[in-house]
Amino acid sequence: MAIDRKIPSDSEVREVAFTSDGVALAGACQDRKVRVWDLAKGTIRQTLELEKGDRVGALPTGSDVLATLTREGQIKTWNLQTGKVGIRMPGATPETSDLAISPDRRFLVSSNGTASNGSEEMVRIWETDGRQRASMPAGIGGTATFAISPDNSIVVASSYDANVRAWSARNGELLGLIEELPVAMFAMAFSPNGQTLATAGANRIVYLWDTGTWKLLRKFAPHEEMISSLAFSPDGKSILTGGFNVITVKHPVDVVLHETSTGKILRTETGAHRVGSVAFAPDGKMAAFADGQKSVSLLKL
Amino acid sequence: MTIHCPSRREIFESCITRGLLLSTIPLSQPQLLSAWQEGEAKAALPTPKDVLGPFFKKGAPNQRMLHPAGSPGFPLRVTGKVTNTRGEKVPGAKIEIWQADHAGIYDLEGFRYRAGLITTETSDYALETILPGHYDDRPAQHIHYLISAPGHRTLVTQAYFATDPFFEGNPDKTFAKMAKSRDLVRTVTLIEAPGIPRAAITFDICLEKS
Repeated sequence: MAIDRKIPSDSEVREVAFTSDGVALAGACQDRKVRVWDLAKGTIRQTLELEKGDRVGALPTGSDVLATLTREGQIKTWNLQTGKVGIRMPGATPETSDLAISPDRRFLVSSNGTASNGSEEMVRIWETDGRQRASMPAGIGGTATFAISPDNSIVVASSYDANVRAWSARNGELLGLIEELPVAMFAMAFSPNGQTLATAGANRIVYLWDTGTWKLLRKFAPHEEMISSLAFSPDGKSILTGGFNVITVKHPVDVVLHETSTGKILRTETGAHRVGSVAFAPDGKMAAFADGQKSVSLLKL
Repeated sequence: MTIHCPSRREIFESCITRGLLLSTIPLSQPQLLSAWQEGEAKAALPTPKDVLGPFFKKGAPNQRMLHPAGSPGFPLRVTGKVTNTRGEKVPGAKIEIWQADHAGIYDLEGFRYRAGLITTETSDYALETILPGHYDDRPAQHIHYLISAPGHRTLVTQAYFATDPFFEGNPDKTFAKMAKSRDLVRTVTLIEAPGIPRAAITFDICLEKS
């Protein structure tokens, strides 16, 4: 099957997200601009020009917000509708490896190494006024990705040390530690009802975890390539994954739509060597992926 | 009750005053102290850290031979020892090692080019492997290390090769393109063992006490 439609971009698109009204799509581009396209017309509605040294930290679907990081650790949020900077906060040093913003936009989560020579990582939860709500040890070597539950109560971090940790977003209490994974998970998402966490990464397998017990529910058959991005459909019935391959920039990868309950493959598309993000429109009738090309690919569902 | 713990300077000064430390060098006491401290600090610097990367895998076997017999690539011997910033040996330290094969591919299914070694009584380790391949995302040859030992801070670092074409024959100038520190780029020695040439590097590791 072919891609249904492509929105052209002047610069390579690394990440994508739909706006909450589903009529626009934001793309974080190689030229440090975030472009917001009108989906019906394919024209640009808004261009956010990041300030010097800024990089994209989080671009979640449905929140209408972008969070960026400076080299000094400063965190900023931007309104995708207006293009204006909302919050500026000092954040933490040294350099933040990953950032997430809660679905209700009331807190942010960052991950930092230590200033000294140790390789221990700390995850911090921030109030939007810059106060630190909690800080938690998060393993060795850095955070690959975060997931925050739809009800904003749980923060999950996947560490490059191949462990996944879940904390209470309220106070940082450790709720779950998944140690049985052999390799790091590069992509994670909660199901819309919050009862399942999907993780996938270096070993090409999608895992589904019970977020009450943090036990494995099931896993899908391995993909051809590693998995770098993952999203649940709004009804929770399907999961879209995007692959990547580090060996050559020319190596194509699969973008796969699965049935959540069985793992059955419903549809497969082709992306470039790395799919930075996959996203579903809020009404579930469309999905998009960014694979570092000068376009965003759209799938009608 | 407060117990006064004398500083290194106080101990040094006390030793000189009491004749416990004699010097035939025509230097002032502050100059001697500074030279002493510099020497000690140099000996005790921890190995610089580097990134963990995305391809660590748990449970690698304690194997000295990282590559299957007859596998392609230029043979490499890596030796070293694990000490700490106090200059003590660290026997029983766990060294997790992983690298790409000659084609730049990490084995994520099995444990080729991966090992979980334990340092000996004399705190040494040794392994036989091949020079790692190059791959697009991190184009310099490197070996990943994750070292842990009771009472010490866990260290994540990497060993690089001064002969790597990526460093253009001048790692003093070019190391920062990949390595977090010049100290991590190692001199390569060609040795004969047995009958065929192979490369060898020494990669000693110094851990911080926790």
